[in-house]
Amino acid sequence: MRKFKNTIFIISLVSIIFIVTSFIIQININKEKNISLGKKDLSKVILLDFNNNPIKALDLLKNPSVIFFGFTNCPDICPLTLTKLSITLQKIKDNKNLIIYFVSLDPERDKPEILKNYLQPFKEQVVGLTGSQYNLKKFADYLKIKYYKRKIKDGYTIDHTSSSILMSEGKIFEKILFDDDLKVSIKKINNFLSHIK
Amino acid sequence: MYLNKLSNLLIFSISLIFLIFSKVNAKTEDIIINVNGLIFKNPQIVYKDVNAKMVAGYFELENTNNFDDKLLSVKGDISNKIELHNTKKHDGVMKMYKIESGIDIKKNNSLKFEPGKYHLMIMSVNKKILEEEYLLSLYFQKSKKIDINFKAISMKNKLEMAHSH
Repeated sequence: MRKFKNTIFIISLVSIIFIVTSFIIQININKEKNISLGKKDLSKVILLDFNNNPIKALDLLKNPSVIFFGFTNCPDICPLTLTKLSITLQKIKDNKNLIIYFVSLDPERDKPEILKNYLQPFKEQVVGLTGSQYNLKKFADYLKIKYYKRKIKDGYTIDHTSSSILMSEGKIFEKILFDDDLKVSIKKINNFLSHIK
Repeated sequence: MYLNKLSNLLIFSISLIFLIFSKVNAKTEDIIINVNGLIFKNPQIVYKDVNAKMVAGYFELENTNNFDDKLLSVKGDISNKIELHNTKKHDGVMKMYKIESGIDIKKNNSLKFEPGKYHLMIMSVNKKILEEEYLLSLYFQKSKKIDINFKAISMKNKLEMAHSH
């Protein structure tokens, strides 16, 4: 009888540990998704695409897209991320023509024509965006993107958030991290696509 | 007679399979260069597109010697501005910085130059990058100058190769 009680106790303990662990994991997964946005008002924020067309920031956030912030002088993080996103979309058959937006955090150097030239290898898949320092700051703050201009010997560089945002109907669905490989990126975008209308 | 033909056909088939298999394997084979106890694995220059003015250099370095060494600088014809860099992530923000004092490579230890970590920053590239080899000279504190051929590979191909493994 005592042996039976002990067995029941061990089974109960293991079950409780399992339930609590699953609960914690679930909370962490949910934390990553549907991330809240900044409180800045975007209604007057207008950006400029690489064809010199003005785009209202709020309009841009309505449609499903992948948004990545960087700058064309970025040595490896930006080109690697853009290449990864581009291949990821190519590998997804029904990618619903998802657009990748590359938002420059360096409007001083990244004029529309520079962006156009930089993004030319990605053809129509990636749209370059720039704008005034003020508007870009508001837009980045709204999407909780951090960036800092830092002086270096030969000029300046920009330290910035390295993750890409999966955006739909004005909400952040999920983020693709710099360390996410192609497999993980494909999984995240497929999951995103299955949730958008 | 008939048996002889069959056996020849069998040998031919096996040879063909072996040849195809070795070719497939050759594509994914690691490039390993050992220079006086310093082992360089898969030295690569990775570029966004052929017109890229800024490219990165990656490789694995193993010091099998019984003395510590230090990578001090890198030079090459491809650019007159090649720097040692590292990237550190803090609060989701990537911060890349130049390493002025060189990179230590301890005895019987290895070091990886890879995206988002240690890498060679090759700036103001003076030619179109093609999928060929580019000679870079690596200067070490003790091992002095070591010339290594870095194979240029597009980011697209690098990512696809990593994905297929």
